[in-house]
Amino acid sequence: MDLNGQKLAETLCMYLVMAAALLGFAVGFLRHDFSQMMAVFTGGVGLVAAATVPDWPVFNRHPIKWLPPKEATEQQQQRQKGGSSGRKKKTASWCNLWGMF
Amino acid sequence: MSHSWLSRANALATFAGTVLAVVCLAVTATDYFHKSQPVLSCEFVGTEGLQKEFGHDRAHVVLNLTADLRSEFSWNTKQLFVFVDFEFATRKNARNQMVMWSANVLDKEHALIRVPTLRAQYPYALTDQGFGLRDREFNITVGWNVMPRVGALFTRRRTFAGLGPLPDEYFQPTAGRVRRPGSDEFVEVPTGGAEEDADPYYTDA
Repeated sequence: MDLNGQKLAETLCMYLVMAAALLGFAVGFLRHDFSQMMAVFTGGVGLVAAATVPDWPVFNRHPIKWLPPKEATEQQQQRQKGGSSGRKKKTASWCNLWGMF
Repeated sequence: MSHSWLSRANALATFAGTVLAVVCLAVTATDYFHKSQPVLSCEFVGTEGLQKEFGHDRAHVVLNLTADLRSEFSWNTKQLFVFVDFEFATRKNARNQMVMWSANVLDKEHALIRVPTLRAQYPYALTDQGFGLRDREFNITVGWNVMPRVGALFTRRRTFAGLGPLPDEYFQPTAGRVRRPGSDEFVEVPTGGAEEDADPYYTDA
């Protein structure tokens, strides 16, 4: 799912759940039946789950375009080869945090 | 957190729960506007017996109760719990209150209650801490808890004051034979026990 799809899924989810709640309340109130309200609401939430939880193709219309990979510099190539010259003593992350060593 | 179908399902479930809570608040709000007109009547039919027991008095009181609680049912009402309280005051205790009968009303069709001979239901008993029941006036309070599906339980009451008095002398209890209030006259009444019949106090409209 791409970023536009995520936004679309979340917006759909929110508004459809609220619509199911309103519809359920209206049905229950007008027909004087509490269980019908619950049935409409849970049914609506089930439909929303089917619509927004799986990764449907609708949510993949704007694929992310990454930049092309950069060419590695000489230093980086050397480091990848594992030359002893570029080796540095590793310090623990908490040392960096406090500016030690 | 990475975005996955699990995170979407989680967001949906929690949001649906929040929305359902708001809906339940709205449902209890509609109960506030529900108007009911309960119709009740309660008469003192008579006394089947008045006993002096070890340390206390015991009365066998028969009432005639009619309660139309059908209008108490709104779309959010799960059930009613109806109870009949027997209240009196003696020199020893200013306030005596005991339940003599109770029933669950599960739906509106059964909310019209007619009990022409209402006796103290087992294990309830009408006794006094002492010997103060002879010639005693009493109040009957019919109360009912309204239990909603969502929201808080509430109670309504109706009091029938100044009933009686109970007979001024002890006499052995005889089922089906009541002494009318304020006289020595005896009247035959049906003895149908609440425990024998399945739904003795439920009468369809």
